[in-house]
Amino acid sequence: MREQGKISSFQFFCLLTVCRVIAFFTFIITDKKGFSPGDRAILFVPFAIFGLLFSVPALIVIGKEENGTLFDISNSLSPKITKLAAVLYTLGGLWSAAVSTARFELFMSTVMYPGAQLFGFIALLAAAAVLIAKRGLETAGRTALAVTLLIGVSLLFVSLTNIGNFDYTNLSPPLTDGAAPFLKSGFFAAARTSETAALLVLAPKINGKIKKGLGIWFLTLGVTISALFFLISGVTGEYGEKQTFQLYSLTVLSKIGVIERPDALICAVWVLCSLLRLAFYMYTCAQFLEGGFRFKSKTAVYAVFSAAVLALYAFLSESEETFSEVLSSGANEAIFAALLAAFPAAVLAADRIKKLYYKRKRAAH
Amino acid sequence: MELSKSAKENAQTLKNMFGGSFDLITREFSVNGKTAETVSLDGMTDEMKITESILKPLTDDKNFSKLYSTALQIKDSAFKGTGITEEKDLFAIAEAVSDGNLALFIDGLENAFVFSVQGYPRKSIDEPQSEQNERGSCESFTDNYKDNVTLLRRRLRTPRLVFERMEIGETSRTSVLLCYLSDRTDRELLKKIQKRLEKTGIDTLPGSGYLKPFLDGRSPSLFSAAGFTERPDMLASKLAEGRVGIIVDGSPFALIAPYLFIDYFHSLDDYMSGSLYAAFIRLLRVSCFIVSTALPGLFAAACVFHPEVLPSNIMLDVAAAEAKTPFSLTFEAVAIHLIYEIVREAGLRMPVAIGHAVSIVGALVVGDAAVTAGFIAAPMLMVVALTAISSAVISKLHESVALIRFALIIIGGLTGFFGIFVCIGLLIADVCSVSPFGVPFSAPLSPFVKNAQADAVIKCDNKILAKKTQSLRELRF
Repeated sequence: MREQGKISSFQFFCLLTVCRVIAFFTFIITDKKGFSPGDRAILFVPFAIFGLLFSVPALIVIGKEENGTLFDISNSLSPKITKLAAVLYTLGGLWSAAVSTARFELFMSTVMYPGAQLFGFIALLAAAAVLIAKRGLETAGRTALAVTLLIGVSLLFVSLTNIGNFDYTNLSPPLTDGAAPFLKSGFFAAARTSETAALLVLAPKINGKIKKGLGIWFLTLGVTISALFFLISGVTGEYGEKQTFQLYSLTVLSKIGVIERPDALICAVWVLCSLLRLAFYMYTCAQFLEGGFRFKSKTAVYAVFSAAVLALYAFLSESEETFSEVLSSGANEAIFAALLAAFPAAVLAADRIKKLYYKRKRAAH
Repeated sequence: MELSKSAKENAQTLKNMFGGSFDLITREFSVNGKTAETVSLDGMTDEMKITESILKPLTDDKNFSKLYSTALQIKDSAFKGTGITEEKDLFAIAEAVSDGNLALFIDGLENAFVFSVQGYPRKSIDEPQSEQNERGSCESFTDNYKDNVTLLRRRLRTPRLVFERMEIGETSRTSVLLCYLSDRTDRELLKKIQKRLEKTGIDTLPGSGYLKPFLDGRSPSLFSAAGFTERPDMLASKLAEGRVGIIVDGSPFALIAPYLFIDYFHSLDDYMSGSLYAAFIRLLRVSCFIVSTALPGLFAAACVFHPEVLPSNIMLDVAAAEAKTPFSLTFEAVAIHLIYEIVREAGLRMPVAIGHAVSIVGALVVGDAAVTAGFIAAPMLMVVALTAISSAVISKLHESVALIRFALIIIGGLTGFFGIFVCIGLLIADVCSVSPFGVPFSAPLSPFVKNAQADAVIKCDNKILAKKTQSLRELRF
């Protein structure tokens, strides 16, 4: 029997999958140079390696005490560091949520509701996310499992209905542009997997083997994404290369029997991912804030968080140029890499130095 | 309130307590040379039993000896055919009389005797009305809780079947039985249910359904984790899984707690059929749930926002049909579903004798005349018909389904697939969040419990199921 209020590691990785999948669906290629079709088939290798490397500090943090948190270490250093961590991670989460929401809105206003003003829709999404976040991690975890199943079915449908259109002449050999752009793509893809930072605060709420699960998750996700990119390249060829949302271009080609355009229905399933991702970010950021500044009313945090996401998203989607610059600047990935790897590594190093200092001091006495 | 030594005085006090109610009957006679009074409620007792087993032996002096105490002789020998207890408190005696017992006061005695002589008109055991089965038992629960106990005992002949009696309702003092199998039911679960029932604080308990919100706990949800059944065989099978049954006197519906989401798609007939057919039927029920909740909303959303989803010939037919109606498609969908709900409600509430009239009005006016007059498009009518038939398949979920359906039509008509899927997301989260008894309502699907999959969405062969007794403990998280 599991403890109440906890989720299984499988449910947690389902949550991460849902978050990652929507980022993948709404992925926009801003740097085509480093992303040749041939490279995509083997992208999972650098993705999984870099992903795991990025996660090493987080894994050390949670491994220090059995499923401990970043705050367990930062509190022993200084309460100020804990507060700084809480603020940094909340801002990081806020930024990530706003960027992904803006991406999703761009996707919707491009393909589902061309030219429509979707602020009201996003506000509805944010309100719904507050309701889910309020119900806690158990609800989010269980919902993620169901949504993962739906996403799996929709992806399988898209893949199976397009497999007949696969043309190997559309493919190109891997590493045609050399290893550097390929590794760079893998590095950036892994750096965008910011959700794993949630482990730093949610680890005590997860049952099961997190480290092993994370390895399997990176590998499975990498292979799935690579396979989908491989399919996209083989099916859409040069046409796909010119599309803003590549997976959508594959979805458009799906048809079954008399239903020739089920893409809107399939894309609607992705709305579930976006909703759950937002709820997960809200919940995780509230956990970070709770760790840094003890408070009870999480509902207020969720409400403020959703309002902030809306404001930031509205700012980002105000002009396409601004949003495009934000996406192509690499700053996004740098922030996530810093929060996922650099900050925990710095806290671990400070903790180590502090312990060594006291050890030497004791030895001197 | 203590008894007086005078039988007459006690009987009078009791009469006053009942406010001089006409159905309170008192009889005065002599027992072993002492004045005695019986008090009972007319219609609540078995008159034959009172005459043959109590009054006749009491008034026959041969049964008594002056050498021994009258009380001792009454207790020891005279009335073996009826249950007998002694009471000192007049309030307790009044409650016993309300429950259909007979109170006997004898001059000079400190205690009164309470004879169990309940005998009131009972409804016979009928076939279940709301849970029809093709090959299952034809017996259903009755309004009398003692009959229901017998019906259950006949199906679970084990001393481990326990019935705990409690009274709920400040005024009604309705008998409520908690039934469970002592070796299979989790003690914590039992305590939780007992606690919630004790805390109801209600004045009268009109039926078992009234207890549902108290069992569900605090979090508001569209779904309840307590289910109904009027089938003793269904309750018996649920008790065997470690669940708790709640039988309320005066209600032919027993409550089952916890009741999982997947249970709404199960029927006893599944276990009497082949496993492949049972799996097919269960999948069909799940599909009917999806159709009855989402189809009208998806149809409205597809027609208004995403017509490309529909096959082109159907899209053209719908467009042509809708062009002839004066209302928007969303309004049409809401209106026609509202009419369907009105017809359904009328069918439930009106006298059976005029039921056919409403059916004719519903079928002709709504079904034919509205389309002919050009108020409603024929495709929308087909959607309603399909929805109505599908919702009948999962009738236990009707309340939730009706609400969700309306919400999805409105949101789908206003925002398209986006809004519908946001609502579906909330719905999934709602189902996943219910867990009032420590067992997730969405189990064994999410959280996924591998061992319970043999009897979840699909049903394995009975030979496989027989090897593993499914227990609720497997589903606890």
